[in-house]
Amino acid sequence: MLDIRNLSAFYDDDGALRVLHNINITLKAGSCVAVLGMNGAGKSTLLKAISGVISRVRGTILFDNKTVLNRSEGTPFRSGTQLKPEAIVRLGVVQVPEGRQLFPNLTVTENLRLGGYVLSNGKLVNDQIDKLNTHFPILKKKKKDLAGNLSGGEQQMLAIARALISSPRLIMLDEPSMGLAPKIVESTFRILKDICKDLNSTILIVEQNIPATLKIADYAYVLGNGSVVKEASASEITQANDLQEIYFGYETQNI
Amino acid sequence: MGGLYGLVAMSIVFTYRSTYVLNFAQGEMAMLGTYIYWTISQFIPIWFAIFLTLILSFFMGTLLERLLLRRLDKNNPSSSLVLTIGLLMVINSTVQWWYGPIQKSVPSPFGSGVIRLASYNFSLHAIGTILMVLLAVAILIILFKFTQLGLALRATAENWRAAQLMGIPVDSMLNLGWAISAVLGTVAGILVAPILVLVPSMMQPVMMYAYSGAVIGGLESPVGALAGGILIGVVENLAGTWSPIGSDLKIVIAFALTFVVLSIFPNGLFAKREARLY
Repeated sequence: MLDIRNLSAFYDDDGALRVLHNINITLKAGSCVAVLGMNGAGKSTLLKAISGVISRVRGTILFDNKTVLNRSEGTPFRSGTQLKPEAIVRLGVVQVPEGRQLFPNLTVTENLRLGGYVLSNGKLVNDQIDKLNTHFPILKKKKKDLAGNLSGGEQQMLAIARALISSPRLIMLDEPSMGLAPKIVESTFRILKDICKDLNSTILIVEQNIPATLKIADYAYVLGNGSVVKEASASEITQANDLQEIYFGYETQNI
Repeated sequence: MGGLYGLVAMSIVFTYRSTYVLNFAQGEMAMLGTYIYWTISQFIPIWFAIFLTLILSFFMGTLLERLLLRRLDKNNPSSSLVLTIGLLMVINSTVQWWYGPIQKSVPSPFGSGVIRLASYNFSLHAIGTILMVLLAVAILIILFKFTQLGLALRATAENWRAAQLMGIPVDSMLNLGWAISAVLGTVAGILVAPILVLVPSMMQPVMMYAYSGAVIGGLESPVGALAGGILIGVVENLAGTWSPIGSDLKIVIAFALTFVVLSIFPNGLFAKREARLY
Protein backbone atom coordinates (compact mmCIF):
# COMPACT_ATOMS: atom_id res chain seq x y z
CA MET A 1 0.00 0.00 0.00
CA LEU A 2 2.78 2.41 0.87
CA ASP A 3 5.95 2.12 -1.14
CA ILE A 4 8.94 4.23 -0.23
CA ARG A 5 12.05 3.89 -2.37
CA ASN A 6 15.32 5.68 -2.10
CA LEU A 7 13.94 8.44 0.03
CA SER A 8 16.44 11.09 1.02
CA ALA A 9 15.77 14.26 2.96
CA PHE A 10 17.91 17.31 3.53
CA TYR A 11 18.00 20.30 5.86
CA ASP A 12 19.40 22.72 3.34
CA ASP A 13 18.95 23.62 -0.27
CA ASP A 14 22.41 22.52 -1.34
CA GLY A 15 21.91 19.01 -0.12
CA ALA A 16 24.87 19.07 2.20
CA LEU A 17 23.01 18.31 5.43
CA ARG A 18 21.35 14.97 4.86
CA VAL A 19 18.77 13.67 7.29
CA LEU A 20 17.55 10.53 5.55
CA HIS A 21 19.70 8.34 3.34
CA ASN A 22 18.03 6.24 0.68
CA ILE A 23 15.28 4.81 2.84
CA ASN A 24 13.28 1.85 1.57
CA ILE A 25 10.09 0.95 3.38
CA THR A 26 7.07 -1.06 2.33
CA LEU A 27 3.73 -1.20 4.09
CA LYS A 28 1.08 -3.81 3.41
CA ALA A 29 -2.55 -2.84 3.79
CA GLY A 30 -4.01 -3.67 7.17
CA SER A 31 -0.68 -4.09 8.88
CA CYS A 32 0.75 -2.26 11.85
CA VAL A 33 4.34 -1.21 11.29
CA ALA A 34 6.74 0.43 13.69
CA VAL A 35 9.68 2.64 12.87
CA LEU A 36 12.01 2.67 15.84
CA GLY A 37 15.05 4.69 16.57
CA MET A 38 16.70 7.09 18.92
CA ASN A 39 16.39 10.85 18.94
CA GLY A 40 17.68 12.44 15.81
CA ALA A 41 17.50 9.29 13.75
CA GLY A 42 15.21 11.01 11.28
CA LYS A 43 11.91 9.40 12.25
CA SER A 44 9.84 12.60 12.31
CA THR A 45 11.41 13.70 9.05
CA LEU A 46 10.25 10.46 7.50
CA LEU A 47 6.65 11.15 8.42
CA LYS A 48 6.91 14.75 7.30
CA ALA A 49 8.15 13.55 3.95
CA ILE A 50 5.23 11.18 3.57
CA SER A 51 2.73 13.90 4.52
CA GLY A 52 4.30 16.27 2.05
CA VAL A 53 5.05 19.08 4.47
CA ILE A 54 8.76 19.28 3.74
CA SER A 55 10.00 19.99 0.28
CA ARG A 56 13.68 19.13 0.45
CA VAL A 57 13.19 15.49 -0.34
CA ARG A 58 14.13 13.19 -3.18
CA GLY A 59 13.11 9.67 -4.05
CA THR A 60 9.83 7.93 -4.72
CA ILE A 61 6.79 7.52 -2.55
CA LEU A 62 3.79 5.62 -3.88
CA PHE A 63 0.53 5.27 -2.04
CA ASP A 64 -1.93 2.77 -3.51
CA ASN A 65 0.17 3.07 -6.65
CA LYS A 66 -0.46 6.79 -6.84
CA THR A 67 2.60 9.01 -6.95
CA VAL A 68 3.03 11.09 -3.83
CA LEU A 69 6.64 11.98 -4.48
CA ASN A 70 8.87 11.42 -7.46
CA ARG A 71 12.05 13.36 -7.68
CA SER A 72 15.30 11.86 -8.88
CA GLU A 73 18.72 12.03 -7.34
CA GLY A 74 20.55 15.23 -8.13
CA THR A 75 17.58 17.20 -9.41
CA PRO A 76 16.57 20.51 -7.84
CA PHE A 77 13.89 20.53 -5.17
CA ARG A 78 11.38 22.30 -7.33
CA SER A 79 11.45 19.69 -10.05
CA GLY A 80 9.71 16.35 -10.19
CA THR A 81 6.37 15.64 -8.59
CA GLN A 82 5.36 16.22 -5.02
CA LEU A 83 1.77 16.31 -3.94
CA LYS A 84 0.57 19.14 -1.69
CA PRO A 85 -0.23 18.21 1.90
CA GLU A 86 -3.95 18.72 1.42
CA ALA A 87 -3.96 16.35 -1.53
CA ILE A 88 -2.15 13.70 0.48
CA VAL A 89 -4.72 13.94 3.26
CA ARG A 90 -7.45 13.50 0.70
CA LEU A 91 -5.80 10.31 -0.46
CA GLY A 92 -6.41 8.98 3.02
CA VAL A 93 -3.05 9.50 4.70
CA VAL A 94 -3.30 11.31 8.03
CA GLN A 95 -0.71 12.03 10.67
CA VAL A 96 -0.88 12.48 14.40
CA PRO A 97 2.17 14.72 14.71
CA GLU A 98 4.78 14.88 17.40
CA GLY A 99 3.37 16.64 20.43
CA ARG A 100 -0.20 16.14 19.32
CA GLN A 101 -0.53 19.60 17.69
CA LEU A 102 -4.10 20.17 18.70
CA PHE A 103 -5.87 23.51 18.40
CA PRO A 104 -5.71 24.57 22.03
CA ASN A 105 -8.23 27.41 21.95
CA LEU A 106 -10.86 25.42 20.11
CA THR A 107 -13.21 23.00 21.82
CA VAL A 108 -12.88 19.24 21.70
CA THR A 109 -15.79 19.05 19.30
CA GLU A 110 -14.29 21.69 17.04
CA ASN A 111 -11.00 19.84 16.98
CA LEU A 112 -12.81 16.68 15.97
CA ARG A 113 -14.76 18.51 13.28
CA LEU A 114 -11.51 19.73 11.81
CA GLY A 115 -10.37 16.14 11.54
CA GLY A 116 -13.30 15.65 9.23
CA TYR A 117 -12.44 18.65 7.08
CA VAL A 118 -11.85 16.57 3.99
CA LEU A 119 -15.18 14.80 4.29
CA SER A 120 -17.74 16.53 2.17
CA ASN A 121 -20.75 15.53 4.20
CA GLY A 122 -21.51 17.21 7.51
CA LYS A 123 -23.72 14.40 8.67
CA LEU A 124 -20.96 11.90 8.01
CA VAL A 125 -18.66 13.89 10.26
CA ASN A 126 -21.22 13.82 13.05
CA ASP A 127 -21.67 10.08 12.68
CA GLN A 128 -17.95 9.52 12.87
CA ILE A 129 -17.68 11.68 15.97
CA ASP A 130 -20.38 9.61 17.62
CA LYS A 131 -18.65 6.39 16.68
CA LEU A 132 -15.38 7.54 18.12
CA ASN A 133 -17.01 8.82 21.26
CA THR A 134 -17.89 5.24 22.11
CA HIS A 135 -14.24 4.32 22.02
CA PHE A 136 -13.18 7.44 23.89
CA PRO A 137 -15.94 8.25 26.36
CA ILE A 138 -13.90 10.97 28.04
CA LEU A 139 -14.04 13.01 24.86
CA LYS A 140 -17.79 12.94 24.83
CA LYS A 141 -17.88 14.08 28.43
CA LYS A 142 -15.55 17.00 27.76
CA LYS A 143 -16.81 17.92 24.35
CA LYS A 144 -17.21 21.61 25.10
CA ASP A 145 -13.88 22.00 26.87
CA LEU A 146 -11.01 23.81 25.25
CA ALA A 147 -8.50 21.33 23.95
CA GLY A 148 -5.65 23.05 25.71
CA ASN A 149 -7.21 22.36 29.09
CA LEU A 150 -7.25 18.58 28.78
CA SER A 151 -4.71 16.35 30.48
CA GLY A 152 -1.86 14.80 28.52
CA GLY A 153 -3.57 11.45 28.09
CA GLU A 154 -6.85 13.06 27.06
CA GLN A 155 -5.05 15.23 24.54
CA GLN A 156 -3.46 12.17 23.03
CA MET A 157 -6.83 10.48 22.72
CA LEU A 158 -8.24 13.60 21.13
CA ALA A 159 -5.38 13.76 18.67
CA ILE A 160 -5.87 10.14 17.67
CA ALA A 161 -9.64 10.45 17.47
CA ARG A 162 -9.27 13.56 15.37
CA ALA A 163 -7.08 11.68 12.93
CA LEU A 164 -9.51 8.80 12.72
CA ILE A 165 -12.59 10.88 11.91
CA SER A 166 -11.92 10.76 8.21
CA SER A 167 -11.57 6.95 8.27
CA PRO A 168 -8.08 7.19 6.86
CA ARG A 169 -6.47 4.40 4.87
CA LEU A 170 -3.20 5.05 6.63
CA ILE A 171 -2.71 6.67 10.00
CA MET A 172 0.79 7.65 11.02
CA LEU A 173 1.70 8.52 14.59
CA ASP A 174 4.82 10.38 15.61
CA GLU A 175 5.94 9.38 19.09
CA PRO A 176 2.46 8.98 20.55
CA SER A 177 3.79 7.80 23.89
CA MET A 178 5.80 10.95 24.54
CA GLY A 179 4.99 12.53 27.87
CA LEU A 180 2.44 9.92 28.85
CA ALA A 181 2.36 7.57 31.82
CA PRO A 182 3.07 3.92 30.94
CA LYS A 183 -0.41 2.70 31.85
CA ILE A 184 -2.00 5.28 29.59
CA VAL A 185 0.39 4.38 26.82
CA GLU A 186 -0.62 0.74 26.95
CA SER A 187 -4.34 1.41 26.92
CA THR A 188 -4.06 4.03 24.18
CA PHE A 189 -2.08 1.69 21.96
CA ARG A 190 -4.58 -1.09 22.48
CA ILE A 191 -7.51 1.15 21.63
CA LEU A 192 -5.63 2.35 18.58
CA LYS A 193 -5.10 -1.14 17.28
CA ASP A 194 -8.75 -2.08 17.85
CA ILE A 195 -10.07 0.97 16.06
CA CYS A 196 -7.78 0.43 13.13
CA LYS A 197 -9.03 -3.09 12.75
CA ASP A 198 -12.61 -1.79 12.76
CA LEU A 199 -11.89 0.92 10.24
CA ASN A 200 -9.66 -1.27 8.12
CA SER A 201 -6.86 1.23 8.49
CA THR A 202 -3.13 0.65 8.35
CA ILE A 203 -0.94 2.01 11.12
CA LEU A 204 2.56 3.37 10.98
CA ILE A 205 4.01 4.24 14.38
CA VAL A 206 7.24 6.09 14.86
CA GLU A 207 8.49 5.60 18.38
CA GLN A 208 11.29 5.53 20.86
CA ASN A 209 9.34 3.35 23.26
CA ILE A 210 10.17 -0.12 21.99
CA PRO A 211 8.32 -2.57 24.27
CA ALA A 212 4.89 -0.92 24.10
CA THR A 213 5.13 -0.50 20.36
CA LEU A 214 6.30 -4.04 19.64
CA LYS A 215 3.27 -5.34 21.52
CA ILE A 216 0.95 -4.13 18.80
CA ALA A 217 3.20 -4.03 15.75
CA ASP A 218 3.49 -6.73 13.11
CA TYR A 219 6.70 -5.54 11.56
CA ALA A 220 9.39 -3.06 12.49
CA TYR A 221 12.11 -0.99 10.88
CA VAL A 222 14.94 0.38 12.94
CA LEU A 223 16.29 3.74 11.90
CA GLY A 224 19.78 4.81 12.84
CA ASN A 225 21.36 8.05 11.67
CA GLY A 226 18.96 8.36 8.82
CA SER A 227 19.26 4.87 7.40
CA VAL A 228 17.37 1.66 7.90
CA VAL A 229 19.70 -0.49 9.92
CA LYS A 230 17.40 -3.41 10.58
CA GLU A 231 14.00 -4.63 9.53
CA ALA A 232 12.18 -7.70 10.74
CA SER A 233 8.90 -8.96 12.10
CA ALA A 234 8.01 -7.75 15.56
CA SER A 235 8.61 -11.09 17.19
CA GLU A 236 12.08 -11.40 15.68
CA ILE A 237 13.01 -7.95 16.86
CA THR A 238 11.83 -8.65 20.37
CA GLN A 239 14.24 -11.52 20.55
CA ALA A 240 17.10 -9.88 18.72
CA ASN A 241 20.30 -9.39 20.65
CA ASP A 242 21.90 -6.84 18.44
CA LEU A 243 19.05 -4.35 18.85
CA GLN A 244 20.63 -2.99 21.97
CA GLU A 245 23.91 -2.64 20.19
CA ILE A 246 22.33 -0.63 17.41
CA TYR A 247 20.45 1.54 19.83
CA PHE A 248 23.08 2.17 22.39
CA GLY A 249 26.15 1.62 20.30
CA TYR A 250 27.57 -1.11 22.46
CA GLU A 251 26.56 -4.44 23.83
CA THR A 252 24.60 -4.52 27.03
CA GLN A 253 23.37 -7.31 29.17
CA ASN A 254 20.22 -9.12 28.17
CA ILE A 255 17.23 -7.71 29.96
CA MET B 1 -18.71 57.54 15.06
CA GLY B 2 -18.21 54.92 17.69
CA GLY B 3 -19.86 52.41 15.47
CA LEU B 4 -17.39 53.17 12.72
CA TYR B 5 -14.43 52.85 15.00
CA GLY B 6 -15.91 49.54 15.95
CA LEU B 7 -16.22 48.43 12.36
CA VAL B 8 -12.62 49.18 11.56
CA ALA B 9 -11.56 47.59 14.83
CA MET B 10 -13.47 44.51 13.79
CA SER B 11 -11.68 44.27 10.50
CA ILE B 12 -8.36 44.49 12.29
CA VAL B 13 -9.38 41.76 14.65
CA PHE B 14 -10.69 39.66 11.79
CA THR B 15 -7.34 39.80 10.06
CA TYR B 16 -5.63 39.01 13.30
CA ARG B 17 -7.86 36.04 13.99
CA SER B 18 -7.56 34.67 10.47
CA THR B 19 -3.89 35.17 9.95
CA TYR B 20 -2.32 36.18 13.24
CA VAL B 21 -0.99 39.25 11.49
CA LEU B 22 -1.80 42.61 13.00
CA ASN B 23 -2.43 44.72 9.94
CA PHE B 24 -1.16 48.24 10.37
CA ALA B 25 -2.14 49.11 6.85
CA GLN B 26 -5.81 48.40 7.50
CA GLY B 27 -6.73 52.07 7.41
CA GLU B 28 -4.87 52.74 4.22
CA MET B 29 -6.46 49.75 2.55
CA ALA B 30 -9.83 51.12 3.57
CA MET B 31 -8.89 54.50 2.24
CA LEU B 32 -7.78 53.02 -1.06
CA GLY B 33 -11.05 51.17 -1.34
CA THR B 34 -12.95 54.37 -0.70
CA TYR B 35 -11.06 56.21 -3.40
CA ILE B 36 -11.88 53.47 -5.84
CA TYR B 37 -15.50 53.81 -4.80
CA TRP B 38 -15.37 57.53 -5.42
CA THR B 39 -13.95 56.99 -8.88
CA ILE B 40 -16.48 54.39 -9.81
CA SER B 41 -19.40 56.33 -8.41
CA GLN B 42 -18.79 59.09 -10.91
CA PHE B 43 -20.04 56.76 -13.57
CA ILE B 44 -22.66 54.53 -12.08
CA PRO B 45 -25.38 54.81 -9.45
CA ILE B 46 -24.32 54.70 -5.85
CA TRP B 47 -25.45 51.27 -4.77
CA PHE B 48 -24.01 49.59 -7.84
CA ALA B 49 -20.79 51.40 -7.14
CA ILE B 50 -20.75 50.11 -3.60
CA PHE B 51 -21.34 46.57 -4.74
CA LEU B 52 -18.64 46.75 -7.37
CA THR B 53 -16.17 48.36 -5.03
CA LEU B 54 -16.66 45.65 -2.48
CA ILE B 55 -15.95 43.02 -5.05
CA LEU B 56 -12.86 44.87 -6.16
CA SER B 57 -11.63 45.27 -2.62
CA PHE B 58 -12.05 41.54 -2.15
CA PHE B 59 -9.59 41.09 -4.96
CA MET B 60 -7.34 43.78 -3.58
CA GLY B 61 -7.05 41.77 -0.42
CA THR B 62 -6.36 38.61 -2.37
CA LEU B 63 -3.71 40.29 -4.44
CA LEU B 64 -1.96 41.78 -1.46
CA GLU B 65 -1.84 38.41 0.20
CA ARG B 66 -0.59 36.60 -2.83
CA LEU B 67 2.08 39.09 -3.70
CA LEU B 68 3.30 40.22 -0.36
CA LEU B 69 2.23 38.28 2.65
CA ARG B 70 2.87 34.89 1.24
CA ARG B 71 6.56 35.60 1.11
CA LEU B 72 6.76 36.29 4.80
CA ASP B 73 8.49 33.86 7.02
CA LYS B 74 5.64 32.27 8.88
CA ASN B 75 7.81 31.67 11.86
CA ASN B 76 8.68 35.28 12.52
CA PRO B 77 5.82 37.56 13.56
CA SER B 78 7.91 40.73 13.45
CA SER B 79 8.30 40.58 9.72
CA SER B 80 4.58 41.02 9.22
CA LEU B 81 4.71 44.12 11.39
CA VAL B 82 7.35 45.72 9.22
CA LEU B 83 5.58 44.67 6.06
CA THR B 84 2.21 46.14 7.00
CA ILE B 85 3.76 49.42 8.08
CA GLY B 86 5.59 49.59 4.79
CA LEU B 87 2.37 48.80 3.01
CA LEU B 88 0.70 51.66 4.84
CA MET B 89 3.26 54.12 3.53
CA VAL B 90 3.20 52.77 0.01
CA ILE B 91 -0.56 52.90 -0.33
CA ASN B 92 -0.78 56.36 1.18
CA SER B 93 1.85 57.81 -1.11
CA THR B 94 0.50 56.13 -4.19
CA VAL B 95 -3.00 57.42 -3.59
CA GLN B 96 -1.71 60.91 -2.98
CA TRP B 97 0.26 60.79 -6.17
CA TRP B 98 -2.58 59.42 -8.23
CA TYR B 99 -5.53 61.39 -6.90
CA GLY B 100 -3.86 64.50 -5.61
CA PRO B 101 -4.14 65.78 -2.05
CA ILE B 102 -7.23 67.95 -2.58
CA GLN B 103 -10.20 66.64 -0.71
CA LYS B 104 -13.11 65.11 -2.54
CA SER B 105 -16.59 65.09 -1.23
CA VAL B 106 -18.42 61.83 -0.97
CA PRO B 107 -22.14 61.87 -0.46
CA SER B 108 -23.65 59.40 1.93
CA PRO B 109 -25.14 56.34 0.27
CA PHE B 110 -28.16 56.84 2.47
CA GLY B 111 -28.92 60.33 1.31
CA SER B 112 -28.75 63.45 3.41
CA GLY B 113 -32.14 63.22 5.07
CA VAL B 114 -32.81 63.55 8.74
CA ILE B 115 -35.30 61.83 11.01
CA ARG B 116 -36.69 63.50 14.06
CA LEU B 117 -37.27 61.32 17.06
CA ALA B 118 -38.13 62.63 20.46
CA SER B 119 -36.59 66.04 19.89
CA TYR B 120 -33.29 64.60 18.63
CA ASN B 121 -32.22 64.74 15.02
CA PHE B 122 -30.88 61.52 13.61
CA SER B 123 -29.27 61.67 10.24
CA LEU B 124 -30.14 58.89 7.86
CA HIS B 125 -26.48 58.36 7.43
CA ALA B 126 -25.96 57.62 11.09
CA ILE B 127 -28.83 55.18 11.16
CA GLY B 128 -27.69 53.54 7.97
CA THR B 129 -24.18 53.23 9.42
CA ILE B 130 -25.39 51.55 12.55
CA LEU B 131 -27.43 49.11 10.52
CA MET B 132 -24.47 48.29 8.31
CA VAL B 133 -22.26 47.72 11.29
CA LEU B 134 -24.78 45.40 12.89
CA LEU B 135 -25.11 43.53 9.64
CA ALA B 136 -21.37 43.11 9.39
CA VAL B 137 -21.15 41.81 12.95
CA ALA B 138 -23.91 39.32 12.33
CA ILE B 139 -22.27 38.01 9.19
CA LEU B 140 -18.90 37.68 10.87
CA ILE B 141 -20.25 35.84 13.87
CA ILE B 142 -22.18 33.43 11.71
CA LEU B 143 -19.15 32.82 9.54
CA PHE B 144 -16.76 32.17 12.35
CA LYS B 145 -18.87 30.18 14.70
CA PHE B 146 -21.22 28.22 12.54
CA THR B 147 -19.55 27.39 9.27
CA GLN B 148 -16.91 24.84 8.45
CA LEU B 149 -15.04 27.53 6.57
CA GLY B 150 -14.96 29.80 9.58
CA LEU B 151 -13.65 26.94 11.66
CA ALA B 152 -10.95 26.29 9.10
CA LEU B 153 -9.95 29.97 9.16
CA ARG B 154 -9.65 29.94 12.93
CA ALA B 155 -7.70 26.69 12.90
CA THR B 156 -5.25 28.03 10.33
CA ALA B 157 -4.57 31.12 12.40
CA GLU B 158 -4.05 29.11 15.54
CA ASN B 159 -1.80 26.32 14.33
CA TRP B 160 -1.13 26.29 10.65
CA ARG B 161 0.98 23.18 10.72
CA ALA B 162 -1.79 21.15 12.28
CA ALA B 163 -4.30 22.72 9.92
CA GLN B 164 -2.17 21.62 7.03
CA LEU B 165 -2.23 18.06 8.35
CA MET B 166 -6.01 18.19 8.42
CA GLY B 167 -6.06 18.79 4.72
CA ILE B 168 -6.84 22.49 5.01
CA PRO B 169 -5.29 24.49 2.16
CA VAL B 170 -3.46 26.94 4.39
CA ASP B 171 -2.48 29.39 1.67
CA SER B 172 -6.03 29.73 0.48
CA MET B 173 -7.26 30.34 4.01
CA LEU B 174 -4.85 33.20 4.60
CA ASN B 175 -5.81 34.59 1.23
CA LEU B 176 -9.48 34.53 2.11
CA GLY B 177 -8.83 36.14 5.46
CA TRP B 178 -7.13 39.09 3.84
CA ALA B 179 -9.77 39.46 1.18
CA ILE B 180 -12.60 39.62 3.69
CA SER B 181 -10.63 42.01 5.80
CA ALA B 182 -10.12 44.32 2.83
CA VAL B 183 -13.84 44.33 2.19
CA LEU B 184 -14.63 45.19 5.80
CA GLY B 185 -12.15 48.03 5.74
CA THR B 186 -13.59 49.43 2.54
CA VAL B 187 -17.10 49.35 3.92
CA ALA B 188 -15.89 51.35 6.87
CA GLY B 189 -14.13 53.76 4.55
CA ILE B 190 -17.20 54.33 2.45
CA LEU B 191 -19.19 55.06 5.57
CA VAL B 192 -16.55 57.36 7.03
CA ALA B 193 -16.01 59.44 3.91
CA PRO B 194 -19.24 61.44 4.06
CA ILE B 195 -18.39 62.54 7.60
CA LEU B 196 -14.70 63.27 7.28
CA VAL B 197 -13.85 64.32 3.77
CA LEU B 198 -12.08 61.99 1.41
CA VAL B 199 -8.39 62.72 1.59
CA PRO B 200 -5.44 60.37 1.66
CA SER B 201 -5.08 60.93 5.37
CA MET B 202 -8.76 60.33 5.97
CA MET B 203 -8.44 57.16 7.94
CA GLN B 204 -5.54 58.19 10.11
CA PRO B 205 -7.46 59.77 12.98
CA VAL B 206 -9.90 56.89 12.84
CA MET B 207 -7.15 54.31 13.09
CA MET B 208 -5.94 55.57 16.45
CA TYR B 209 -9.33 54.93 17.91
CA ALA B 210 -9.79 51.72 15.99
CA TYR B 211 -6.63 50.10 17.25
CA SER B 212 -7.41 51.21 20.78
CA GLY B 213 -10.88 49.79 20.40
CA ALA B 214 -9.54 46.51 19.08
CA VAL B 215 -7.10 46.19 21.94
CA ILE B 216 -9.62 47.12 24.60
CA GLY B 217 -12.00 44.55 23.25
CA GLY B 218 -9.32 41.92 23.32
CA LEU B 219 -7.79 41.10 19.98
CA GLU B 220 -9.49 37.75 19.80
CA SER B 221 -13.07 38.81 19.50
CA PRO B 222 -14.75 40.78 16.70
CA VAL B 223 -17.66 41.58 18.96
CA GLY B 224 -15.26 42.81 21.58
CA ALA B 225 -13.59 45.01 19.04
CA LEU B 226 -16.92 46.45 18.06
CA ALA B 227 -17.79 47.13 21.66
CA GLY B 228 -14.38 48.62 22.27
CA GLY B 229 -14.70 50.90 19.30
CA ILE B 230 -18.13 52.08 20.31
CA LEU B 231 -16.99 52.63 23.84
CA ILE B 232 -14.14 54.80 22.72
CA GLY B 233 -16.34 56.75 20.37
CA VAL B 234 -18.86 57.46 23.07
CA VAL B 235 -16.25 58.40 25.64
CA GLU B 236 -14.51 60.60 23.14
CA ASN B 237 -17.61 62.60 22.39
CA LEU B 238 -18.68 62.88 25.97
CA ALA B 239 -15.24 64.02 26.98
CA GLY B 240 -15.20 66.60 24.25
CA THR B 241 -18.53 68.04 25.25
CA TRP B 242 -18.55 67.87 28.99
CA SER B 243 -15.05 68.00 30.30
CA PRO B 244 -12.82 71.04 30.43
CA ILE B 245 -10.32 69.27 28.20
CA GLY B 246 -11.98 70.39 25.04
CA SER B 247 -12.08 68.78 21.64
CA ASP B 248 -8.40 69.00 20.87
CA LEU B 249 -7.34 66.65 23.56
CA LYS B 250 -10.08 64.13 22.95
CA ILE B 251 -7.63 61.65 21.69
CA VAL B 252 -5.82 61.63 24.99
CA ILE B 253 -9.00 60.37 26.57
CA ALA B 254 -9.01 57.43 24.20
CA PHE B 255 -5.52 56.44 25.18
CA ALA B 256 -6.20 57.02 28.86
CA LEU B 257 -9.18 54.74 28.62
CA THR B 258 -7.13 52.09 26.87
CA PHE B 259 -4.51 52.28 29.56
CA VAL B 260 -7.05 51.96 32.35
CA VAL B 261 -8.88 49.06 30.79
CA LEU B 262 -5.73 47.14 30.03
CA SER B 263 -4.45 47.63 33.56
CA ILE B 264 -7.50 45.89 34.90
CA PHE B 265 -8.09 43.40 32.12
CA PRO B 266 -4.73 42.62 30.52
CA ASN B 267 -6.32 40.56 27.81
CA GLY B 268 -9.02 43.04 26.99
CA LEU B 269 -12.62 43.14 28.12
CA PHE B 270 -13.89 40.30 25.99
CA ALA B 271 -10.89 38.03 25.83
CA LYS B 272 -11.64 34.34 25.83
CA ARG B 273 -9.86 32.11 28.26
CA GLU B 274 -6.45 31.34 26.87
CA ALA B 275 -5.54 27.70 26.78
CA ARG B 276 -2.03 26.45 26.35
CA LEU B 277 -0.88 23.08 25.04
CA TYR B 278 1.97 22.64 27.48
